[in-house]
Amino acid sequence: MGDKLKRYAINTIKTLILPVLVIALFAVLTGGRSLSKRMLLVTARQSVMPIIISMALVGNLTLGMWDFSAGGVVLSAAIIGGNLMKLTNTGTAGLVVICLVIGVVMTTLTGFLNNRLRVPTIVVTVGLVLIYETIPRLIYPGGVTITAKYTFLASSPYCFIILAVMFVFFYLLYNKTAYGHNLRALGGSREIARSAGLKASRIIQTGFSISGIFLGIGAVLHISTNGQLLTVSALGSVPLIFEPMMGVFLAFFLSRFCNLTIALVVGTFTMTALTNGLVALGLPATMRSITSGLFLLILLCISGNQARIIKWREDRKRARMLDAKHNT
Amino acid sequence: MLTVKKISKAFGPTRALIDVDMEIRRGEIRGLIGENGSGKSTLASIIAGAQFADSGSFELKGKPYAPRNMVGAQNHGVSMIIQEMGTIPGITVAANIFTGRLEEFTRFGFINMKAINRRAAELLQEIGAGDIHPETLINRLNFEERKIVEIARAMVANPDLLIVDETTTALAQRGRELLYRLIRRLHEENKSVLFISHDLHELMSICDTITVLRDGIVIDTLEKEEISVDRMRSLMVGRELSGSYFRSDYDGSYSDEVVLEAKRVTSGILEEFNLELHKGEILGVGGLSDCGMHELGRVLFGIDKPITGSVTLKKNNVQVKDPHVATKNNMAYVSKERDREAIILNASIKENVVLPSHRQLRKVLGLITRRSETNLTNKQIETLRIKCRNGKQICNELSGGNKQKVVFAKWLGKESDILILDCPTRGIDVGVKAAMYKLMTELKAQGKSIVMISEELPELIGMSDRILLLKNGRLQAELRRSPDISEKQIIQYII
Repeated sequence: MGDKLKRYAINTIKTLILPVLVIALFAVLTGGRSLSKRMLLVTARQSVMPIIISMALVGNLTLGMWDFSAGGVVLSAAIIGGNLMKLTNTGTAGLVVICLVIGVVMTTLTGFLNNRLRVPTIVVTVGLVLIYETIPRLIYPGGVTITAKYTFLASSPYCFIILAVMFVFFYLLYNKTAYGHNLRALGGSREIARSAGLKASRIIQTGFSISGIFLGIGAVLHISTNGQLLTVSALGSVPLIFEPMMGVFLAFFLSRFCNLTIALVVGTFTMTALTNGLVALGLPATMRSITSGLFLLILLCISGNQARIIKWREDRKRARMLDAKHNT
Repeated sequence: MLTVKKISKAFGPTRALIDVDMEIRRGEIRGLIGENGSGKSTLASIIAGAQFADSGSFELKGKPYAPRNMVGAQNHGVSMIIQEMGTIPGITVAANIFTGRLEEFTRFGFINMKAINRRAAELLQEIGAGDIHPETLINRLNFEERKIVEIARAMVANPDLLIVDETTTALAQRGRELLYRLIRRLHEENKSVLFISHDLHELMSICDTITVLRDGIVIDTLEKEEISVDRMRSLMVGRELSGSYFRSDYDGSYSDEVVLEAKRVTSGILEEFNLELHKGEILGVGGLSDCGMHELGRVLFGIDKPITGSVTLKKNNVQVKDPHVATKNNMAYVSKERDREAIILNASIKENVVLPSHRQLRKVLGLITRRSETNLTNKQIETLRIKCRNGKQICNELSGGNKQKVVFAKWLGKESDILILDCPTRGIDVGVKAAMYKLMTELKAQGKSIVMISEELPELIGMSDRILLLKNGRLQAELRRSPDISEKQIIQYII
C-alpha cells in the first residue's frame, strides 16, 4: 500500500471512528433498537438542518466570532417566509426564495453592524437576536402554519438532495474561491493577513452575507420539518444553534483528518446521533443536555491540549538529554 | 534607487527616528546597524509600508513614494522580510506565499490552486528551496523552513529593493546561505538590498556600505573601504555616561546573603543557567533580545516552568513554582510587555496598585476598606510622583512613563523584597528614566534585591553591581561593577 493511500485510509478511520463509536455505544445500550435502518435514517434526516446551519456558523467561528443571532434569523425567516408564501401563493419555490432573501438581508445587516459598531461580535449578535425574534412577533404574532403539501422538502430524499447541493456549494466556496482562502488566512493570523493586504472588514461582511444563504435554507427546512412555528422571545431561538455549534467544534477537531466540509457533516451528524441515542435511552431533556455537554467538553479538552501534551513530551526529552549530559 | 528625506517618527514621548536622510543606490547592498532601540526596524518598516512616518518623504527610482501598506510597497517593488512577522498557521505553504494575491489566480470566481502551487514551487526553486513542497500545511514545517517561506513571500513581487530585517539570527547555516545567494543575485541584477543585522562580521562580508543609526539619528555611512568591526562598534556605541543619570558610586557592594538562586534552569533558548541574587544587589542581565534573558525573567518569577533545574528562595527554602508562590514570598515582576502583561489598562490606578496587596490590606473578617485602598494608592502616587487627576483615573489615559510608574507602584505598595525588572525603562522618556534609576538605587539601599534585565547597555553599566551577559541562552561573561566597563567590551561578548 502506498504511503499516500495508507495515510488516506488512516485519516478516514480517524474521521469516522467518532460517529461509529457513538452509534455502536447506543446500539449496545438500547439493545440494538437505535441501530435499525429506520432509526439511522431518522438521525440522518434530523441532522440535515443542523449541518446546513453549521455551514453558516463555521465562517465566523473560523475568525473567532460567535454569531448568536443565527437562530433568530432562521426563526424569523421561517415565520415571515411561511406567511409571505401563503400570502403570495407562490408555493414551495416562493418559500425558498423568500427565506433566502430574508436570511441574506438579516445577516448582511448583522455583518454591517458588527463592522461599524466596533464592539465584540457576541454583544452585537445577542442584541440583534432580540430584535430578530421581535420582528415576526410584531408582524405575525400567531407564528405560522403551513399545509402538509409544502413540507416535503424536509422529507427523504429531498432533504438529502438539499444537503448535497449545499455541501457542494460550501465545498467550492471554502476550498475553491479566494474568499475561502482569505477567510482561513484571516483566521490564522489577522495581523499577518492584514499586512499582506487583506481587507478584514470586507471579508467579514462577505462571510456574514453568505451565511444568510445557509440560514435561509435552514429556515426552509425548519418550517418544513415542523409545519407550524410559534414566535419566541428572550433568546428563545438560541437553542436552534446549539447542536450546529457543537458540530462545528467537532468539525474543527476532525478537520485535521479530512476536509472541513466533510468534517462538518460528520461532526454535526455525530451530535445528532448522540442526542437521538439519549432520547432512545429515555433520558429526560436535562440529562440529555448534560451528557451532550460533557461529551463535547471531554473531546475538546483532549484535542485542545494536544499541543501542550506534545510540548510536554518534547520538554521531557530535552530534560533527559540534558540530565544525561550533566551526569557524565 | 531610494532616497530617504528627513524621516521622523515618534512613539509617544520616545523619538524613534529624527530627520533621517539616506540614499540607497541601484545594485547596492546597504547595511543598517545600531543598538537595540536605535530605530533600524522602525525605519525599515516605514520604507516597507508597515508603518507611517510622522514627517519626511521618500523617492523611489526618482519618483515620490508613499506606500499605504506592505502590499502597496510590494507593488512599487519594495519587499521586506520581517524579524517578528512569521507565517499564517493552518494554511498551505503556497497559500502563505500568495496571501493577499490570490485574486490574481482566480477565474470565473474560482481559484486555480494548481497554478498557485506551480508558481509557488517555481518560486521556491528559484530561491534554492525546491525541497519545500507548496501543498504542505505550514504547521508541518520547522522554524527555519517557515522563515524560508517568508523569504519566498517577499520575492513574489520580484522586488527592486529587498529589506532583510534581522532575519539571519533566525536562520541556521542552510537558510543563511540561501539568503546570501539571493542577495548576491539581486546585486547582480542591479537591484538593491537593505540589510539589518547585529552580526558585524556578516555585515562586513555582505554589504557595500553601512549606515549607523543611534537613538534615531544617522551617525555615519561607511563605504566598503572604511568598514571594520571596531569602527562599527565605536560608531554604534559612541555615547558618554552621564554622572547624575545613573548611580554615582562604583563600590558595587552587596550582602553575602543569597536571596534567590536559579540552578541548572532550562527554558526556551535558556540552557542550564545558574544565577545567585544577593540581598541589596542590583544584578544586571544583558544580551541581544533573543539571548534568553527575557525567558530568564519569566522563569525566575514562576511564569514559565523550567524544563530542568529550579528557582529557590533561599530564606525559607521555597521553590518558585508559579507567580502565586512568588508574590506570596514578596517577589515582584515587571514585564517587558507592559501594556499586555504588567498593567490593566482599562482599570484605574487604584485597582492596579492594590491588586497584589489585598492580603496586606485585609482587616476584620477579611474585609478590605475603601479607605485603606485609597491611602495605599495616594501614598504611591505621591512617592512616585505619578501625574494623574487622582487614583480613580483609568490607566489607559496615562502617558507611557506614568503607566510604568503605576507598574512600579503596584509592587512597591506591596513592599516586595525581590524585584525582577524586565526592561524597566523601555519606551519611557529621560525624565522618568532618571526617576526609575533613583528609585532602584534607593531600593538597593533599603536592602531590596533587583534583577534588572535590559537591552540598553548604558543602563546595565550605569546601574548594576554585577552584569551577567548572555548569548544563545548561555552565560557568556560576568562583569563586576567598575568605571572601566565599556559598551564596546560588552558588545564583544554578546554579538
